[in-house]
Amino acid sequence: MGMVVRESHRPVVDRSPTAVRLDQVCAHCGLGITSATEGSWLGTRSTANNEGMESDLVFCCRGCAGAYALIHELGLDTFYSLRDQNASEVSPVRQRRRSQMLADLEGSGVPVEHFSDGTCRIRLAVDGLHCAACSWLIESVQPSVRGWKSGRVRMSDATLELIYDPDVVSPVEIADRIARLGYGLSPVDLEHEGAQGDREIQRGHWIGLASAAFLAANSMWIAISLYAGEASGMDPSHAIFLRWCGALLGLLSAIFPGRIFFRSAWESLRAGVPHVDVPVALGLAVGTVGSLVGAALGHGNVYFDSLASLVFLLRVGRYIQFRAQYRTGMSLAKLLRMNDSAAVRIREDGTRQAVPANRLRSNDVIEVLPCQVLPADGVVIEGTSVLQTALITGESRPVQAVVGTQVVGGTANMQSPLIVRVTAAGENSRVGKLQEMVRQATAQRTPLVQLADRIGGVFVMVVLGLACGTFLVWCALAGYVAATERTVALLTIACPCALALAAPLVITVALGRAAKEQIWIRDGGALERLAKPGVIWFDKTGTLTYGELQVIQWRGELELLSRVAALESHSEHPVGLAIIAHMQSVDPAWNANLHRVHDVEQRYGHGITGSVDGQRISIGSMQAKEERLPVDDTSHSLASQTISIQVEGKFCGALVLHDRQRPEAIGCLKDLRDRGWQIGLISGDSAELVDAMGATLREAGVPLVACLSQQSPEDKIKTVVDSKPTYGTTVMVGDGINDAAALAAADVGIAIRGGGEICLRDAPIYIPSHQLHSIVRLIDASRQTVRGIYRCFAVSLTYNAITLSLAMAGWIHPLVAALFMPLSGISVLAMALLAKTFPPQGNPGPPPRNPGPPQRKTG
Amino acid sequence: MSVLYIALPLAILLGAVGLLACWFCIRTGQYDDLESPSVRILIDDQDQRRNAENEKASEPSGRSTEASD
Repeated sequence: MGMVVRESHRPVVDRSPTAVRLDQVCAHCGLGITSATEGSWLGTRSTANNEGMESDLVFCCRGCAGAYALIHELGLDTFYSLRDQNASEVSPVRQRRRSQMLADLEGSGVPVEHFSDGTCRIRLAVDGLHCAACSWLIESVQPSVRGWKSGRVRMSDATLELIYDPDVVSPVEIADRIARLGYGLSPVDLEHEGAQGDREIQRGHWIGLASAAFLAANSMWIAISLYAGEASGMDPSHAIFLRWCGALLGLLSAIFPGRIFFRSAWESLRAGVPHVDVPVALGLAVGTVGSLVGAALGHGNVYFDSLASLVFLLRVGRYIQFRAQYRTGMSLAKLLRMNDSAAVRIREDGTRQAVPANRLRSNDVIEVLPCQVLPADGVVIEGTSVLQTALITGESRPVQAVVGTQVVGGTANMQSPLIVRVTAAGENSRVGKLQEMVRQATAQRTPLVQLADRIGGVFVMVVLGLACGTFLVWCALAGYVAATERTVALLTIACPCALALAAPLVITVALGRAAKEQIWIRDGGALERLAKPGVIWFDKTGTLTYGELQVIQWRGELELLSRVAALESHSEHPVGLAIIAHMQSVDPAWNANLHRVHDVEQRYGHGITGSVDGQRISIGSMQAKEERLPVDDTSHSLASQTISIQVEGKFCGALVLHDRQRPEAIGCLKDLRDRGWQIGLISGDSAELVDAMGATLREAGVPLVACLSQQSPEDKIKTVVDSKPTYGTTVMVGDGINDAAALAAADVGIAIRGGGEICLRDAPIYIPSHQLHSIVRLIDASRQTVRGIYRCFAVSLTYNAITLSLAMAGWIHPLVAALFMPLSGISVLAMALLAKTFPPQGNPGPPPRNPGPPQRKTG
Repeated sequence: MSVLYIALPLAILLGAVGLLACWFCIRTGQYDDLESPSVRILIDDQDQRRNAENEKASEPSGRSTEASD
């Protein structure tokens, strides 16, 4: 036993509870060591010692010992620290909940495909997937599970497609097996994520590209033979035939891959918004009709090859742009999926069942454990706890919940289990309504015309005007044939493909660089909009502050703090968490077992009392009339919370807790102001806290245009929308669900990582690190990007001006024009790739991994 | 009658068949994931075969490789 090394390179050990000694863990694979294996591999330990390794290493098998020795020998010990850091050990509770959801596939909304031979096909989300090795590991398990027919991991959206025989094996068993490798399987609603829609669009792009390439290549060689035939004296009937073949291919190219330009041009005409596709479509239409006439009349050249390659190039540009946005959307979808949305429903017979949160109905009874987020609105029917509502209301202080309290989905349960009767779930809940509001705000946002579209529109109108003029003038001067020839030369050489390609390319390059800097941009247009200064609205809680209570002052002895922290380790109250975090920062070696704690008693709203090392300690809010405080509470009096510590009824110490402002906040706001932006504060928190923050900022030299408190999500939308005419570009920076609608309504919404992942779906820009300075970098990059686009335009317009005048004068043969066409495209391409966005200077290196307090543990 | 009248349409037709095949591949989702296949070819098939053999070998002997949890 234990010796058998499976495909995972992990020994499979007997994990029955009696045999596992938890204090013995294999140094390589991290699995518990059984008495049996220990007996056989004690020898391994001594060999390991001889090779100069640390003395207290044990291995479960020779394979692990060998692997460890090799890694150690090569000096790759970092592997272990990296592995432990990334190890997303699937927690047993979570896994159990997932198993329950997998056991009831129908109830969890996983589409099951049944085949005629009795097998089923399902698609599940995999988390913890990083690289090819992960997918290999998962797929390699498949042959060892009976009844599991096939498993294919799809890296792009981190899902696993399973084909299995439901009579032999259940998905739960497969999931358990894979969980042992460290990957979690869970139901996933791909439809809901929008991934399915995006995939359809991607397929459309592929098909468009393939057919455009096919048609362009074929019409091109037909054109070549036509030109060659002209030179060598081809039989006229052959020439006509070739012309018709080319015409047919070109026409197909305009109709099939080219139809997206006609469609979007039509839509933009109907909406009355000029778009780059209007001129593109016009150019295509004119060229096609002109060439058809040419082919029908049998004289003049046909330029279907140019048209077909134009369609192909344009589609390449579109695809590149789509791809960048698709990738960002995908990473976001994966991130959102991590947020376990399972709810525990209690059935009438008292049994508990895990269901995905979106399948809850009114009147369901659910259990919400501490550190979980409420999946729906409801009324507490059992239990007392403290709720963190910062994400929904922006209020930074925790709220009490007792029997009968109305609770809102999206708030986090901080303390003890609650049994809640659901009153509204899904669309009817507060979060659902907020999402509806977000959708409306998105729909109502006036679309800003993109730079490329504006310039492109003008450009093509000018070209068309010139073409008409040229045609008429040359018709009068030299007749129809010469007129067509010159007009076609003009249209060919003035193809707007450089213009159409430049902006998407520069933006795509910028998006890629932004992603490397941990700034995810989903909407390329947002980058353009950020180039013009306007107003930036900042949310307070969680954006400018950490969004969590932190100890900022401690008056008393360190020894007492250690005992207080030990007592607080029995509570999950935010105050307790803050005290423990503080203790750990003072003394990293501290742990709660240093003290003997018993008789812990928590009275809700009155703190916690307990006996620590034989002394009775009580911790509670400072009463107003208590003894004189030994804390200087002048600076933080408003925004902070003071906690007093009593030992045996005597006042012995005090703590000041505060939702601390991020240290970089002021520097960042100043930088933004220097770049010409106005700054406003907009928060759902109480007036005193927000005003205190506003005062601190003004003192530090950051003038604020407004400092708004107690703003409901509706108020925030109104403020943001109202400020558009006054200040120009309106940017909203926020982290919570209560900001989501405002993020969508603003010209540019920037979501900072918090717990409110809902807002991320709708914000065009997302900063997963908590770096406020990324906003400054983003704005700089946006200016650079727009400058890069302008530079491309300038080159391409100059080039066009010269060649256009030559073509109008009749000095350029259409064939030469066709040869020149790619030149402008290539030059624009080179310039776009060289455009400087996100210049390396001023980059403070990779940001610290976790600048804030420990992340809130949800789920 | 020149051979051109047959050869040209035939060539385009052959190309179109290829295009149709490509269209079919895209429609059935073979292009959906461009990441995994590119790395999957680096992994030897041998492992898979060995696993299957292992499984066969271990099954009669009471499936000793299965963890008893």
